[in-house]
Amino acid sequence: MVIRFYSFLAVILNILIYFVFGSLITGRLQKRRFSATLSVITGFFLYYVLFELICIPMTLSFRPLHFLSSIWAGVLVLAFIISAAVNHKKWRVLLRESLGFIKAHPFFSLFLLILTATEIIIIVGCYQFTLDASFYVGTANTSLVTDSMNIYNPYTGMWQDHFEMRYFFANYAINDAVMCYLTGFHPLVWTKTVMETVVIILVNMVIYRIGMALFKGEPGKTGVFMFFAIYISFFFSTIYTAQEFFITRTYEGKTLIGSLVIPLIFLVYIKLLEDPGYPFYWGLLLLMSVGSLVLSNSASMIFPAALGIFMLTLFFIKKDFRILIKTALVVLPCVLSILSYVLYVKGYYVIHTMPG
Amino acid sequence: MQSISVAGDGLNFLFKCIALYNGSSFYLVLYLLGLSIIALKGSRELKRVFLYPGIVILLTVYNPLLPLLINRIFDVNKEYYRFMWIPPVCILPAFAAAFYVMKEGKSRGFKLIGFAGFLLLFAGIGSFVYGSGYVPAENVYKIPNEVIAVSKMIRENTDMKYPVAVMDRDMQMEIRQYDASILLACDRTQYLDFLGDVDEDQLTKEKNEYVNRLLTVIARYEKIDKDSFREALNKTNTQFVVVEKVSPMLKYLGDAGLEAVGTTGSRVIFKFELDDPQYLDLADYSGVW
Repeated sequence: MVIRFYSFLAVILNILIYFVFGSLITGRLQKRRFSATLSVITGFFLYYVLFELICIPMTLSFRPLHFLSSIWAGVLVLAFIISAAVNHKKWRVLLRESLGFIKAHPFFSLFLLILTATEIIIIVGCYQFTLDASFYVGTANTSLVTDSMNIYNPYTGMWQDHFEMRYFFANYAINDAVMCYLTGFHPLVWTKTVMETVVIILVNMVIYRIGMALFKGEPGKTGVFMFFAIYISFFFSTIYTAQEFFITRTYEGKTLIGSLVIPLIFLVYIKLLEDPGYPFYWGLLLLMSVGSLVLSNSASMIFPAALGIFMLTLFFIKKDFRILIKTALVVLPCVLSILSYVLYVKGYYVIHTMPG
Repeated sequence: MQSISVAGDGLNFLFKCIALYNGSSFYLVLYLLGLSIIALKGSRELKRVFLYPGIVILLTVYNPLLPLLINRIFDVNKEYYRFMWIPPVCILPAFAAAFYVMKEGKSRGFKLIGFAGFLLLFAGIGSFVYGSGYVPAENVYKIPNEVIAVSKMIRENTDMKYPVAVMDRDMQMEIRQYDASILLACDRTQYLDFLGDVDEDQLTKEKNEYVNRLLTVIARYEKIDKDSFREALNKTNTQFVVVEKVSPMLKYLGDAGLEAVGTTGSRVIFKFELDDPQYLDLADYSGVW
């Protein structure tokens, strides 16, 4: 019971961290209402992009996990201080507005709360056996036990003489290890309860925003839409569907590609239909491009494909070549990631885990 | 998607992929039906949001030529299905249902009947994710209690900081999620390839020789020469063997000189006295940083 309570606090902490990170960007937007959900979603990707920028050099210089954890703790504190300093007025307004929204739509707010809580209880309460967990949770636990990053084989625990480039950029599980180090959670509790709950909340935020976009901000219709969208996800189930991944493999990085990143690309597409030149959404897509690579190496192919499809459609509708140029720039990190992996597989380079 | 391949199935690959992806559910059909209705009756805005991207998706992801083209550059045999995550197959039916149920000017009765109707429809055309049963997690770690028990039993019976073990498939996949200081003699790919009878090239065969001997006994239940089995345990520094109680190899393991040091609900934990135990430790990076 105590662990469950701490897990609940850790979920709140995660969402708060993403909000703080996201506010650094969304708080600077002019002419747009400061949005809590958009801040959290943006913050999630900014968080992982920044983590990657710190994690990769640390990995390449063979630093221990505790060192990365200390640096990351400093980044979190610094982000909170800076964000609070520049956004505190907006946060206060947002809090007032949010309370006002809840007062104005108490049934809708309660409905969303019950809907999400029920979904969390069902999914998180279930035993989930997947072979890939031995990689995702294994990586977090191995990193924690060996105080290292990507040096030991997560499946066996044996030392590897070189980094496996397939997973080199996908440091989602390393972040899990860092957070376990900082909070004292066991990686199984962190991945399969805390992050699983966080992911469900994030995915619901995206579905909520899609609903609000499709129904022009009408809470009632959005609520019913969300209910059906969540309900359907329990029934579109084969071992391959994104919905099955979301429900039975929620803690895996690639689940986030299917359940969070692709729906978010769809949402951004809807927003860009209104204003294809709006810089914020292109910036968000760039963050998503890099951030997705941190979540799963599968993103290197799926993200460009998904974005390409929606942006090609946008191009046909708007007939603006800048859309294609921006899309090409946004997917560049994914292309570079593919290239680096292909070169590694072809034997052009190898990065050893011990210098000399 | 192990059972299909672009090289073997050619243009049929996509259709087989679609069939496997959708299983017995008809959400893709519903999505296509939704696109057709929007094409005929939808507003300009709905066409932009759903129809036009849908057409691009049909021309790309659902184009039988695409897997053939991509596969020339990347191996997409196992993972092409992930491109099928792109179309908003669940968003469109949910939108349509909410749109009709919440249509203005309709009575509460109409809305309730519509709501119930859509619930039945969506359940009827799909397959429930917990259709084969909902198994509640046994503990906060969300792994079977038995994994924790096996881990503790290994710890109690060794003075090694990082003991090496080999286990039945399910235990092998979960043990290091709970206790990463227990090392495993073979990795997931080796294990699954062995079970799946995947052909190994000569170099891999030589590399995996000792591990394959262990798996022949543990996973394939085949008796090999006991000295050869013991050699494999020694060469891989494997101190513990965990098998299911129902395994037909229990007597063999005992005869091979392993001692049963404990049992859990459905497992037996055997210990092997290594001829020359290697006390593994972490690589020393202190000189690097």
